[in-house]
Amino acid sequence: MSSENPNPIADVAEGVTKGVLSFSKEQLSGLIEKFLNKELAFVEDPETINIAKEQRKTSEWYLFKQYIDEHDLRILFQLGLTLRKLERQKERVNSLRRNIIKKYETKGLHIAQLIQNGFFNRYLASALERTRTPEQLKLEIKNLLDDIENTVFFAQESDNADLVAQAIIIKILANSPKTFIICSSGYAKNRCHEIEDIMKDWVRTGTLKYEYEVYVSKYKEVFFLNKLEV
Amino acid sequence: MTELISLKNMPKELKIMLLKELGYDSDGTLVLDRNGEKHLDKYTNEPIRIDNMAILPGSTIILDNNPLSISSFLEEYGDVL
Repeated sequence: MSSENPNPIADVAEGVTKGVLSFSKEQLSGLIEKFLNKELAFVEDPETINIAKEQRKTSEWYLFKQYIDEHDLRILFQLGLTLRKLERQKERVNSLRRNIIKKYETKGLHIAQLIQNGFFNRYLASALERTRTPEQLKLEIKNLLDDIENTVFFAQESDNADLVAQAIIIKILANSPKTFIICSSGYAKNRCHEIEDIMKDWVRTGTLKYEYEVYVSKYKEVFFLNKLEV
Repeated sequence: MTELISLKNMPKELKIMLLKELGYDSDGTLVLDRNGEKHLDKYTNEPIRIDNMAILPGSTIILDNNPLSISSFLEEYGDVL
């Protein structure tokens, strides 16, 4: 018979699909209207937005944002806090680190890491004691972060303490930063300690016109060298 | 307060329909702009997969749903979400 449907199953399947889509399209129209009224946003995984928003409500962000005006530094600070928040989710941390490097290069990652590990907080406490005005503090922070490759060293467990200490001394003598920070966590703490001992000798002999302070916790050690005001 | 609608369980066809309603398109994997070109994330300059997009209100900004892009958006537009 010519009126017989040659493929009834395919037609039913198509009808069902169309039905689902048209029903959903009605729902979609309502959602789009709300979207255009700025009442909602569509997002694959709302957790990403919630985590980003959460970092902008932390006390660290409230404190820091007073002292940093530069757009990219503000973003890197928030990403540092996000790295800390995601610390146990290795894949997400690695993905974020890759994105930071792509956009801000290694320097950007180092700034974010300084925040992630809480080292920046220690620095801020130390800088607050040394600076007299908010403007002075702002400038110090900006100089530290802008020149992070010459002002901060992240110690690794595999480092050779003598070689690293020499490289740091050369950097300090060449750039004369207001503050130089050596950061470590986990097993790298031991290496940091060895580097510190060498640096302390250079301070004692007067080769480095700096004073030092050390912050030690169970998992972290931070060594600050602060330039002596003449 | 902007409500966040998860796209996680939305069928691909519906996501594409949503993009079309908003003046975009898709090749089934990536978000395309009005001219059929790959739409790039404003902050990472990378193409956006439809299985990881964020469609944000205002000027209908479509981003890759990653922390760098989202934080950059919040820093640029304020706490609008």
